[in-house]
Amino acid sequence: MSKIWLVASQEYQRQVSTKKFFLILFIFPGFFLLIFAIVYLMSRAENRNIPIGYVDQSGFLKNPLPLLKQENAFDSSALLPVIAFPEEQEAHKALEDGKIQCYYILPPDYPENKKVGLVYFKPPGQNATRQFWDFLQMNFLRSLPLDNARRAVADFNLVIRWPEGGVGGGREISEKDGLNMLLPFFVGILFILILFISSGAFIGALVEEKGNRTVEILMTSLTPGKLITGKIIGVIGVSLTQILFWIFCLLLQAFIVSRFLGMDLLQNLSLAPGIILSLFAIALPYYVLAASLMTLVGVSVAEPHEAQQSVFLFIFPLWITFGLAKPIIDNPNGPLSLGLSFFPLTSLSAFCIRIGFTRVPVWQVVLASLILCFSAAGAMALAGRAFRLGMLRYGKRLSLKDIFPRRSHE
Amino acid sequence: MNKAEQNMNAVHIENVSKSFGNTHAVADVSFSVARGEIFGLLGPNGAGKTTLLRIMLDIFKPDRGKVEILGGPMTEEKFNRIGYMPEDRGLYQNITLERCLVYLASLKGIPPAEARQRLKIYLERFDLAAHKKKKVKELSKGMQQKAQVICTLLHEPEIILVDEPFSGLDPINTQMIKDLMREMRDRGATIVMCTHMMRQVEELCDRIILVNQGQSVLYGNLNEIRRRFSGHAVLVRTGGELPRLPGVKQALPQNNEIKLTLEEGTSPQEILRELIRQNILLEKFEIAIPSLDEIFIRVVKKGGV
Repeated sequence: MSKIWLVASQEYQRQVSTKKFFLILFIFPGFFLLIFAIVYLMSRAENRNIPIGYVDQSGFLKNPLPLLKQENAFDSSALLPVIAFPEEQEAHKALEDGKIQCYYILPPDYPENKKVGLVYFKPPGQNATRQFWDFLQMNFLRSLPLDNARRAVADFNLVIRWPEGGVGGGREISEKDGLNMLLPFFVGILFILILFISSGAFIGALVEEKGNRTVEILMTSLTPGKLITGKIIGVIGVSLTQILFWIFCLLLQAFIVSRFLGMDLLQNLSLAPGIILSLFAIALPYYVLAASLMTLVGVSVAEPHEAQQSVFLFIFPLWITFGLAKPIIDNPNGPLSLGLSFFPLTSLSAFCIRIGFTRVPVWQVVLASLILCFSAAGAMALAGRAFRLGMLRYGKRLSLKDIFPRRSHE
Repeated sequence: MNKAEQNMNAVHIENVSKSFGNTHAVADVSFSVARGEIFGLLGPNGAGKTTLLRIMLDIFKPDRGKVEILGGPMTEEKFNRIGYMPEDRGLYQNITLERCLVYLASLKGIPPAEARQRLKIYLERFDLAAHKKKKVKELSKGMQQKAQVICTLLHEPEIILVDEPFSGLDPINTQMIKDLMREMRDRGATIVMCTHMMRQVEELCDRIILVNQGQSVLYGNLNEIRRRFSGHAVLVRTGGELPRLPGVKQALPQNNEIKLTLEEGTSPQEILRELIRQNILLEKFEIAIPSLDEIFIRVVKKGGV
């Protein structure tokens, strides 16, 4: 096995075998589970799954069209039976017996006035009100072909198209895309979170190796370049494990709540392959750059707490970009957005924000990715040099002057 | 030394200098270590010994001079043929002893399965088999020291560089390491040993170099060096009272013997003749050869440390 893979495997195993890793691994799915539970409980509290009754004194609902399940994300309500009562006394008796949660009265002049009466002891659930309203809508449209009527009753979907060359760059966004627009944004935040968590473990490992002198054994076994490459691959592996596990848990939880609790969360969720590829093209070299910077920090400091503080130096630009999210979203192809997209330390967060709100040209993704690749290669070379110099300076910091000397003193 | 002879050496250092800022850690040092010998790299603290070891290992690049390891410059392939035991022990503390040693051996090119097989033998020999599943930090200092020795030897290196190999070891384990070093030498390994323990050097080393303030101050065969430093003195033990002898500047009791420091122009043979002439019953008469400790102190003090 190549020494790079041996180091990567060791780094991976070392990090994933800690209690901290498992704690972090399960905290987020637990958090998502809590959110789903809250949404479900809120939905349960708002809805009541008891049939609805009506008394049609107008004849409008003679031979009514049945209501269909609404195509609405997050609608956890099951379709309620709508029961027709010939007389109000019968409806009232059913209400008293708890067989219906409320009943509507369509007075004789309903077709003209469009006014209905509602009788209840306890206010009906939102689902009951919404479904009876849809039921009436369906029957107003029954003169239309059945499919058209159903389509009209189903949720409408507003679609916005930007003109080519405009602010949106020809992008088309539908109302149901809200989640998809924000998804890259959340991916960016998630990425920063993972970077922050893994940087702590990674730098901690370097400082530990420096502290317990293992580094001397390592440096007489393989080159600093291979050692750093192996460590970076290991850290990327750990982060990928976390991300994939979280995505798996999120999808599993979404499937479970969709399947068993009737909350269709995945219906409108989709990310275009182009967006996934673009994010990947930016995120991967960015991660290598970040890991190289972590190495620089890890070998330059003497104590683990100093390393943790120094991590903010490269996390900070990412947060700054998220702080500038509003001007970026307002003008995703403006000079600020482009500048941040091509600056290596802000590139990832800028793309994560922009990509949901504009159609980012391929050349911009390629250019940003290339800039990141070159920056990552440079940072790796510097990290290798710093590693060689810094890892043997026990208890001492490494300064920029040491890394960029006038004369070589390796 | 010609090229052919150089190629015979496991290590060849020629006019090597290394500075850190304004500090000259190593200045124009040259020496060779022949294949299959135990070579002592000696010097007081801060003399540049560890820097020299790190230059040999290609951790540091020299500012000037030439370094040849196994007949040429250091390569990654040669890393696998070298075992290094640093002065400050370097093992992962939070993983098990077995995992730590197998990993470090695999970085030296030994397949993990084979490393496990070899490790089993070493752990038995070093009485550590029962502790292989313990985390390294749970082992005693002596156990960690033995583990470090195993780490250095597990891949059966051709050159072994050890920095203070006996520190922290009890006499039994010290003897075990000495036996092991002789065994490795007999198998053909070359050993470069950095130590302050002169008794161990006297017992083990064939040749030495003494560095002081980054410079080579003594280099060569250990016995020749000791003879070179033998003072103008003899050690005698007699059956009775030792009379005053002509040509003797000072007579100092030393254990059960007397060390006679001779005047300039007086030879040991003249003293021996005089003792026989006076019919003194001699139990011991020998030229006083200084210990390596004495030579070390004498040379280092002369160097101004």
